[in-house]
Amino acid sequence: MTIRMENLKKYYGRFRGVESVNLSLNHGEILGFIGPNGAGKSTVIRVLVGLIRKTSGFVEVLDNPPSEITNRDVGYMPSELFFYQELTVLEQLRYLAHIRKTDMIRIEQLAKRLDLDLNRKIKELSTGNRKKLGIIAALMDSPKVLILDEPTSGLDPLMQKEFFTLLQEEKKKGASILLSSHILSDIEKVCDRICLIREGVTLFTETLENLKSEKYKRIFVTPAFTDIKLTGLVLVGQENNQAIYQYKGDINPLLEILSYHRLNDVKIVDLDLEEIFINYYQKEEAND
Amino acid sequence: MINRDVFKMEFRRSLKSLVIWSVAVGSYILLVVVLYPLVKDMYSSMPEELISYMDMVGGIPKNIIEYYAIEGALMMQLAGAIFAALLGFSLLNHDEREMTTDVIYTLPVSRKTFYYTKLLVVFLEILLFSAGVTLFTFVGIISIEKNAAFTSFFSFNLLNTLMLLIMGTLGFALAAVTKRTTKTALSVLIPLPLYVIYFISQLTDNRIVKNLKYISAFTFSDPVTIIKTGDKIAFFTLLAYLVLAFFALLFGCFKFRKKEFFQ
Repeated sequence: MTIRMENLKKYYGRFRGVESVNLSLNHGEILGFIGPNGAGKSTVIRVLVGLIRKTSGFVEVLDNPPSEITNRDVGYMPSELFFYQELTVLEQLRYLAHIRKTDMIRIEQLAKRLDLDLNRKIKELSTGNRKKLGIIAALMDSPKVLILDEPTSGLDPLMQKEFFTLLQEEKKKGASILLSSHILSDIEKVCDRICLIREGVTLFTETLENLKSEKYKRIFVTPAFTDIKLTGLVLVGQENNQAIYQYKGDINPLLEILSYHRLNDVKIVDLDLEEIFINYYQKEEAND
Repeated sequence: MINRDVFKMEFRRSLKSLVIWSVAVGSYILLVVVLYPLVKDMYSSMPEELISYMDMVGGIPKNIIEYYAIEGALMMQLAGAIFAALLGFSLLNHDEREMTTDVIYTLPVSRKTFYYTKLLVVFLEILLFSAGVTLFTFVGIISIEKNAAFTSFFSFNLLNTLMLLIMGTLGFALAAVTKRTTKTALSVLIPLPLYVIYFISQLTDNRIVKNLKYISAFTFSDPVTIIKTGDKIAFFTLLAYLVLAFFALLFGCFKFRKKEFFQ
């Protein structure tokens, strides 16, 4: 296991950073770390790279507490990227490469693949180009662990594709990757498992297959019959002479109940990851 | 404990301000010094009231070195102390201010190494500043009086450099214990009150206020004492400041290693 975190608690004075976070990152896997704004994702990441200290709990990166020693093998990309403004991209990367004791060939290759001009001043870079610089800085020495906080926001679709290809390559080399993102389609593309955090508490860590096997479905019924009753079936909306239901359960009772109605049309679709998570949040909120 | 790459980068990034400060302060002192032939004549026709004021701040200078001690050195000390405190503070604090901590302090370099490497840059830049300003002054004096006696001049500049190093250290340690949002200008609050205390103590006959000068770092490097009167320097003040700077550094390092960085 490359990252182990048990009951991590972090308080900033009286204010909660995270309450109880349990997280594990296995060798060679990509773990999606998701949650709404203010859930505590960045706090967890900052503890992992040694920028802040835990209040209590257990944290290990590569079998050691986070420090400059573990950072030798960790590539970190923060969500908001700030570099030395007056330097060129090349000067900044050369500085980081010297400290990380890595050569410039890999950097030049990455810059070429991400289409980043090394001779431009950092202060002239757009958000997207700044992200590219952050990606190169994190990946330059192919570290054992990659911790990426919102890496794709600001990247155009082509570059996002290239970035995910790079991630897969790093994974093949044996890197373990913690990927924090709001963009669930990103998570869906590359992650082996998903860890969901809300209000400083991890709700679950699951494989993508298990999550999808929860078999949530959305049913569009025309005309808009709004009185169909079945366990697991919930009316969620009505538009254009169409009733929209959400259903979780065996498909056969659903088909049977639908057959009692004189329908013009019926459409049954699987929920995507985003809708599954919205359901989770709503379920947790209802429990609160 | 020192990282060469960090050292080079920090030095490079603060070089511009070093050059600006050195040239500005050096040019000012040079200008003051080359005016000596003109001012010398003015001293001989000075009214009584001004002479009594001059007596309080060191008396009428007998040569160009004494003139430098009375008219230029004190201002140079103040400017130098402000530069040193600002430099010390901003060199440790700039990563927090520029929000580059996420990129820089997650590198495989310990906080302790960052701390002492940056401190070394502060020391080197203060030494360069001091050497530069001394050179400007030396050239100015030589251009007016080739046979000037420089022994006390260099003694003063050595002690003044020590005072600047202490100011830089205190500014540096202050940055370690303050928050990211603290303005760099706060560091000026280290030399400024000490200068005011020193200056007021020169202008009074009140014994208590006069003795207050011993709490000021400007006292052990007082140019008039070292160059003109030749009195003993305030050794205990020097010692107290060395001890203070040493412990401030250790405490600063302790706090910096524990510091939490946010964006």
